Amino acid sequence: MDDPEERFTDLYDRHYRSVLGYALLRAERDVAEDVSSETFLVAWRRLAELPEPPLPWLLGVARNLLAKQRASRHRRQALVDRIAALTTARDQAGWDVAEHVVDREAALAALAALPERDVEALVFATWYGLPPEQAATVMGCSVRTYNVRLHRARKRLGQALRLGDGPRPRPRLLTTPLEDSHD
Amino acid sequence: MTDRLFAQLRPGELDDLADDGYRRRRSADLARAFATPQVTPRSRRRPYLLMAGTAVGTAVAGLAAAAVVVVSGEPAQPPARPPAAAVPADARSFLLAAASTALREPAATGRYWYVRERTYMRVHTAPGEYAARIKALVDAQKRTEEQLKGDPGRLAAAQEEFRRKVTELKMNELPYTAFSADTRETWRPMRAGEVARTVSNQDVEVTFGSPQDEAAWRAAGSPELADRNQKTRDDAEERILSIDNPSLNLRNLKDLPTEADELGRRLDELWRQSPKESGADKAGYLWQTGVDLMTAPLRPGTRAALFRVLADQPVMKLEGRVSDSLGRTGIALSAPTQHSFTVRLVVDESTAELLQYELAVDGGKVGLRVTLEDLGWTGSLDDRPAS
Repeated sequence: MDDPEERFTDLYDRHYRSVLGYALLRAERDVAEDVSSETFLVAWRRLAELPEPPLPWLLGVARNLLAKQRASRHRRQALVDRIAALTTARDQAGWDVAEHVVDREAALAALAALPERDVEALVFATWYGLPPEQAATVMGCSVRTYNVRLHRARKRLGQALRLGDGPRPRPRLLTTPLEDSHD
Repeated sequence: MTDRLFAQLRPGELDDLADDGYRRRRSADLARAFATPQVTPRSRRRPYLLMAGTAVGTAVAGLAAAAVVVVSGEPAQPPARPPAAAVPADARSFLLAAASTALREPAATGRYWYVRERTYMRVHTAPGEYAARIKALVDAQKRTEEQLKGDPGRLAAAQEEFRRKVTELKMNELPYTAFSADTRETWRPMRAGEVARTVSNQDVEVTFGSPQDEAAWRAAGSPELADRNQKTRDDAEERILSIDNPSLNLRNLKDLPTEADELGRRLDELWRQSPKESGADKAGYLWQTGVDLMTAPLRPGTRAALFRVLADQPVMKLEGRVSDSLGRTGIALSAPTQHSFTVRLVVDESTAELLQYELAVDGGKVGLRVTLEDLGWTGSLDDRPAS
């Protein structure tokens, strides 16, 4: 594996999809793909210096390129908007099967109320399974700051979801006997 | 609880889009990278010289990387079609990427190696007329030889004259430009001694270079320009896999090296042993052998090594992304070869498979085009690969 072409191909095959998966959360498809391709071009140029494991580093490069992208005429797209845009009927069906206490819309609404970086912290912890040191590398902050964001995100999301749990309308028969009078 | 719920908010579509982007982008991304110089790691021994330069270089590289990102369309508009990937920078980087791709393809084997190819070529003679004229020459020669029995001097001269006439007839060109196309399928058995099948002359078509050419053909009495009788041939004869390399067969392909330098040396050796039937020079030999090997069941490692050997040929030119005669998209590479021919290959970016090859004469006029419509392993003489 000391052949750089082979090493790079392996890196690409292992991680391209993860990087593109992240970029798709921050940008439309064409821009996300361009950013992912650029990320790997940077990785090729710096192949000899890549840290181990390389994924957090790659995600960090993609994140920086996306930040530059947002400074351009592309309007920044909120993470939660992208999640909503990418959600399909299949996801909805999976959600319904899992019988969550809140519906998917409400969960997304709760997320939308959180600071963007807090949601991102959750993404790296939960969707990517990155330990705090690695997630902090991606986000370019200290491990302490990252942990604060993650903790805050979990707490607020939990609160929002519990709030959502309370006033949910209960089955009609038990709550509104008046409506039955028309039968 | 929160984490589990959040995990389920991840849209499944992300995986599909990521897979799709990966498949479309991989080849061009690898090729572009291999064509880009790498940053040499900072040397600890000479910090005084490199420090400033490297820092600036890195900043510029970062800017360049960001600047190349294509910004297009209105932000709110989703792209109508998936974005096209950039064309690789040059033949070498494309071939190195193809080598990586070839390595990724799974190794397979089976009972018969199946190839379906459509061949389109310049017609040089009307087969019926040619056969009739050859027969007339042969008949006349027989009579002459009968008369000259017992006169060895004149007999030898007559035989010489006969060979000259046959060559002349063979070199005769039609006074118009016409092309024939036909499809051929072959099933080659992996085991020696088993029956092979060839079905040739399928879907035969004749076309003309121009309406004037067609008019000239009519004026010449509209001779039939192609054999239209579909033929099926079953026999246990060992078919030659590569004219320039008669020692290669389906069974010993697996012995070809999987390492580029070693394969290069093996090809040099095969070139020296080659009967040089086609009159090719070394470059021409390499291309023809390359085509023969690309359409044969090589091990993935050997296929990769072959692309690396070709990547080291300096004469190759990358022509860009083209469509083959079936409308499939691939990267076209070309190289000059013997007798002022140009060989042109079209290679699939995502699988590194050869889609089509062509031989063109000086002006780029195609003399031969072979489109590989399908190839792979089958279990019987009637099957086609399940692709």
